[in-house]
Amino acid sequence: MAIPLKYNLRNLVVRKVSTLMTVGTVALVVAVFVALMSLANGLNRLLVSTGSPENLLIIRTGSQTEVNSQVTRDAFQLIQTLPGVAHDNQGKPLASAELCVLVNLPRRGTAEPTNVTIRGVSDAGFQLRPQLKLVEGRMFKPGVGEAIVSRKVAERFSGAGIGETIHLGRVDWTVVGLFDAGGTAFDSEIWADSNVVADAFDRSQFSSVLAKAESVSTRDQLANRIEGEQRLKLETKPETKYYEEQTAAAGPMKVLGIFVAIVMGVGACFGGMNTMYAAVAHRTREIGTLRALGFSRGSILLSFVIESIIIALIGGAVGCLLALPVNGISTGTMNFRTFSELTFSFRITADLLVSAIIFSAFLGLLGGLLPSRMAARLPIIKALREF
Amino acid sequence: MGETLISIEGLRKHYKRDEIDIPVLDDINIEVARGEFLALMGPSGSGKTTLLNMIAGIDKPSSGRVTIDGKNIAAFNEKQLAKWRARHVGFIFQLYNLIPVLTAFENVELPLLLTGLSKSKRREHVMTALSVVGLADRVGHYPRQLSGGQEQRVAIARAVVTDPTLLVADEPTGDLDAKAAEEILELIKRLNEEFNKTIIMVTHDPRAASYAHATLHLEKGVLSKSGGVYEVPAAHN
Amino acid sequence: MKYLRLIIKNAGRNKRRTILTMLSVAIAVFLLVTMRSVVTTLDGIGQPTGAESRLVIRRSTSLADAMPESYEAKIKQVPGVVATCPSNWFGGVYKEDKPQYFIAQFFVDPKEVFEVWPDWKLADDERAAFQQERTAAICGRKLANKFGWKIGDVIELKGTFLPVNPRLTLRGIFTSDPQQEEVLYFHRAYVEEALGRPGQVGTYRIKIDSPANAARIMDTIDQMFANSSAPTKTETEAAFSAAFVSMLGNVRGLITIVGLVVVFTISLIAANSMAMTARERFTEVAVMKALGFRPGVVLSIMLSEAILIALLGGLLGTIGAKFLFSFARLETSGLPFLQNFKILPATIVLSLFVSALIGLFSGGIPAWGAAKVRIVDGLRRVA
Repeated sequence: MAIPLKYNLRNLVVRKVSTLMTVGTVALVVAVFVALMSLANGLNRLLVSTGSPENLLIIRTGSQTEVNSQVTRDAFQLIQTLPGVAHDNQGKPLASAELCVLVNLPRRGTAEPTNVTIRGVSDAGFQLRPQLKLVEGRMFKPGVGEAIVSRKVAERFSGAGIGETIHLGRVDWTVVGLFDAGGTAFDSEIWADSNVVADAFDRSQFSSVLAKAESVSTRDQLANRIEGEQRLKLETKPETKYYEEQTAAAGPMKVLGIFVAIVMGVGACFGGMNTMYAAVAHRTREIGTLRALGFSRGSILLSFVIESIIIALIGGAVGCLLALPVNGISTGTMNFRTFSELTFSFRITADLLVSAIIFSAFLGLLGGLLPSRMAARLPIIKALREF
Repeated sequence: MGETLISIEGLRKHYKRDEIDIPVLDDINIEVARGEFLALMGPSGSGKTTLLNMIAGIDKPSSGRVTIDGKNIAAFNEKQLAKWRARHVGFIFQLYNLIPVLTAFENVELPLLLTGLSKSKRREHVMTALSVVGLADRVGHYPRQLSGGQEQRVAIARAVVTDPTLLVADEPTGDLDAKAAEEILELIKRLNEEFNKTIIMVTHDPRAASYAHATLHLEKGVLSKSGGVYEVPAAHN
Repeated sequence: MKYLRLIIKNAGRNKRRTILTMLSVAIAVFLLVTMRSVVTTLDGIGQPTGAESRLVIRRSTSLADAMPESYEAKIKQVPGVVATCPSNWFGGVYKEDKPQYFIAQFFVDPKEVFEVWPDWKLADDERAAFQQERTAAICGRKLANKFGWKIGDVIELKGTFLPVNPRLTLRGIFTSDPQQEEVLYFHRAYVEEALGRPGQVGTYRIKIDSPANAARIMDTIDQMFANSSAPTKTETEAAFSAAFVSMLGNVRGLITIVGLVVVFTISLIAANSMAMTARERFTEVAVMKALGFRPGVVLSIMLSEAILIALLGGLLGTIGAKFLFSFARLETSGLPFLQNFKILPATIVLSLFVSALIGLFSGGIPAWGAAKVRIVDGLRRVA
């Protein structure tokens, strides 16, 4: 025999001040949880979604990242001719030799410089990354000091807006277009013609080659073929895997989010326990009456636990609402793999909200359990005598 | 009888509830001599506790004067009233109202904290007061370790420890069994006779009232004379 | 204070509630101490002994670009420059590519390095052994302790951006301030030879005669190379390190916001429990006021109780943090830059101050309400 829910709901209304305060605490804890996790989420998501499965990234053995790697022009020539490399409809091999250089750019507002990658590319580079689209302005012209930047980079760094110029290496680059790479790692980069980048930074070699295999199933054969050319000293990685390996960058954020959420959650549990103990103490006589009327210990326990969970769930829902405005705000952090800045957005997903609600219900359960047990264990006679 | 200690003139009290004036006390005039033991009787809602509160300085009249020992306390502000109560009034409540976390000794000591007395002086006063109420052997007990009658005696010790001018008691036996009630009333009577304390006691129990020298009856906020031992002039200018 | 007994007894009245409130404050303060210490640790990077009289020269374009070796002679000519040392980041992998095996490692000139960092304490024979042998290395005491290295141990590194896999022998362990003790140094010549002597210098570390001359020297050096093929950027060591930390993103902002929310949340919890306490003492407060206690006294007794509980909680949280972080090693969690995580005395003072504030804030409103209770209402509630 369960005690009707409206009994709990009305009690929550009666002691509205303490209900509101408890809802408030749970809400804040959940909001912090959602905000921090959405940060980690955004970063993770960005790296996981970067790359196409049939693309193969080729870098020098042991160099770990494109920025550290060197690939000679000869090696690039050879790779283009290897069987298994896909071709476009004009018969040109889909392999792009690229030059990545870390440059220092001041952030807008703070003027604190941070590392950004400038990527020198050719036509194939765009063909291999169909998710990248020009959204404003025009494409850079080959052979001149023009660059296109991602919309996020334009927002975050001084001099990177459309029509502005940035001095990098020996060249003053005019930003002629903005692109959107669909929330991938390329959204943190500046793109320009690879020959001009090579001149500007005195580079005679490429950093990496991105090649498209004819299909996902033949990708590994192509990889073996390239690594088999011993004298090239090159290693290959599926493009998707290369970026996935960098998701460790989201680690600190996740650690922080989970740590803060759990520690605060414990604090909120203590607060919730206080509220529920007071509620039980306040209603001792009612509990005695309910028991006298024939409600079992179990139903008293359940009733109070449910009450606690209701408070926590309301708090959880409010907390989610509080956190929603951070969704989409973009920020950056250093990718410790490449030492360049990754620009990404807070990303609140349905999954995250569901886990936040579960988290809050859990807080309610933990906070309510002991007080409810006390309520259920009250002897009827003693409870009735209490005033 | 001796000089007048309490003089109440034209006292009125009404509460406002939802824009409606509810009169509680209407044109009360009383004079009480020093050393008097006066009982206030009347049915519930007659305003007897309100009148007592007004005399004790914890409530203020809507109009009229309450002159005690030559001072019109109705004109005092909160701060003056608090100071005045600390010096001149001892309270005895129906439910004793002891602070549960303090021992009998500490409860009695509480009002002395408001004075400038040294610790040893305080101790002396507390022990005297507890001896008067016959609980000198219970100093270290907490309220929950005492019977109802004992609790009330600690409360009485707390009321007299500052040697106040006036003792006010609101249903001091209301929560006690007959035997304990009798002991408490005897104690209050002794305080009046031996220590010459002026006492005003609200009660609805005629047996309790019989311990007093005089009884005033309140009926719907108005004084009604009745067969008391001692009559108080209802009005005098 | 004559009310102290009453305050303490009041706090102990509802023990369960007091303990729960204290624990929630303790937890908040634990978080605060932790987060504040992350900030002070990050701030402390770049402030080692003598940092104010050391400058770092790098290419103006990017740290990834190098300068020619020929610059050193020119830099030595600049008035005020006392010592110079070429220093390159090696970035090799020790054992496994995991955060717990991360080592800060540089290849340097084995003689000049001691001129730029004269405060290192290294036995003379160890220094001589390091300078004589091309494959020798030295490291700080903390780093040696972390991996259990002893003199004579072989350390193998796998190059990442440089195709060299040095096999080094540890010839000396120096002591200095904790931050510098995290670093491994080996011979520049070793790497240079393996690469075919490209003569590339990542940074020049220089020591100057007086911090007062830093601005002038930085300017002189950068002017000198402004029109060459490799223009430089000279910074103080502190600014150079701070730039790395700032690349982490707005850590300070994030931590400040989270910290404020934590304090606010816990204040709400504490305020709720104080409000419950105040409600239960409605009658008592009225009795005390009837006895002649002024509202101010009643208010301060209740406030003191709240502050006492919060302060005890704060103390517990601080001690807890101190205790926990004397065991836990934060660098293994993958968080960067926290090798020297330390709780500063100032952080402890700040945390206790904040916990007192939590008490004041949480007790304030309920105590104010209690002080304003009308005696008549308070007495009537029970009777």
